[in-house]
Amino acid sequence: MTTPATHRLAAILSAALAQAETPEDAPRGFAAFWMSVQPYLIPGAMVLGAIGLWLLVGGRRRGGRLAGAAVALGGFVLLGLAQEVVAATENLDTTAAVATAIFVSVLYWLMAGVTVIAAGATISMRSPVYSAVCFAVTLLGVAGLFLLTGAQFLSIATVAVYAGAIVVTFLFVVMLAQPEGQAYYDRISWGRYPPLAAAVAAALLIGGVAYVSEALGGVAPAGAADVAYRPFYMADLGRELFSVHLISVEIVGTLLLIALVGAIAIVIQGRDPVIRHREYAPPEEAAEGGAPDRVGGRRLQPAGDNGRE
Amino acid sequence: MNEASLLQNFLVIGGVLFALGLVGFLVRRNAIIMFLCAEMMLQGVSITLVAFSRFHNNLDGQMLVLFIIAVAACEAAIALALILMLYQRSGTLDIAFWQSLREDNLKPHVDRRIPAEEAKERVWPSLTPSGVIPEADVDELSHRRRV
Repeated sequence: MTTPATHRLAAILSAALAQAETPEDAPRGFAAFWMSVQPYLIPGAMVLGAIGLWLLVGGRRRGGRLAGAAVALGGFVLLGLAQEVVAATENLDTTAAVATAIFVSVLYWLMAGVTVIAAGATISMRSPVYSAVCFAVTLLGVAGLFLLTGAQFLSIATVAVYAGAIVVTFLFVVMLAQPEGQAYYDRISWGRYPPLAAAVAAALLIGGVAYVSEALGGVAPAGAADVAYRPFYMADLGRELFSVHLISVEIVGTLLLIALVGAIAIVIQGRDPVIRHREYAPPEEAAEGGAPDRVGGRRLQPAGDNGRE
Repeated sequence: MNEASLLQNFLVIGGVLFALGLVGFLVRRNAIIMFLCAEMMLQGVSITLVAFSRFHNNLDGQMLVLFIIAVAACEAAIALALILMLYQRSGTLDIAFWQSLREDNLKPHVDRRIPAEEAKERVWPSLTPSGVIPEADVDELSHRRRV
């Protein structure tokens, strides 16, 4: 299954080497090569991504999942090449600017690679424990991307709140809810075609975003003409948060309180309803006899005819 | 890397994260993993918002991401409580167990070709044995065979 990706990559590399062997017009030849390859990069990435995702999440065997991971990674590399075309044809005047651009680019693709590989592992791991750990690695990559954008506080908050609190809560729930026996349902999913349809939809979504963001390449940022980019620091964020968005902060605090009360209410409601009925039923209702067959609006046993043989 | 190509890269990576979460949410049937995939879609949106905040050189996108994190914490608390209650009622994390909640005109989903359990998946990690092998406790062996 890896042959299309390797063939395509080998063709691209050999063409690049052939172009680089002509030293008198090497930059122009290289740029021309990028321009000639560019229209095929995003469709190739979409095709490889669809096939790889389908194998990754729909494959029932370990080898199929590994091949799917390899093919999807090839698609992601093609997508990255399609992004770097713009940066490769960009005109930078000084050597320091070129070095800075290369440094930022390398950092970015390091973070992006960690994020995407861990995300693919999250959706393809069999065990929820491994999925949660891979999701934590995804969050670390996202925090790195935030830091690269200049959002320092959000980077810290992602690590502290998401990876530190939410993922740990996930792990608690995974430990509390351990189903007995074989978890066959994740391997067969919803049948044969829904994973294929989901993979194709994801590839179309990624391709659409790539095309649209490519069209943004010539747009100048608003306000960049008069004001140079100035990084925002935590003090700016806090000042804006508690002046402009003060009411939103209050609302979000109330929402957190409501969620806390709601979670406790859900857990209390989920107790055994028969025992709860006997404990808390008014005496006159108990005297009339007849405990209701539906307590709290639910049947005591969920429907058994859910198609499992 | 100028601002426009930076925005382009971050939009693409946000789209990839969103699409991966979408695939996981649609394909997986474990309730916990489905919820993880929903969180991953939120992360994709957050990356997009932060990239636009940098592009427009103001703080609005970062503010929205801050509130997204707070709402995601609420959502995690409620959803995990719900998942725990659903598990205690059904004994399984399979979301298809609750398909009796579907509309009246929809056919039930029937699992076909359930794969046989492979023996090597039951193997636990082990340490090098040293000393006397204790007697096996039957209750302990039959308790929680699988993680």
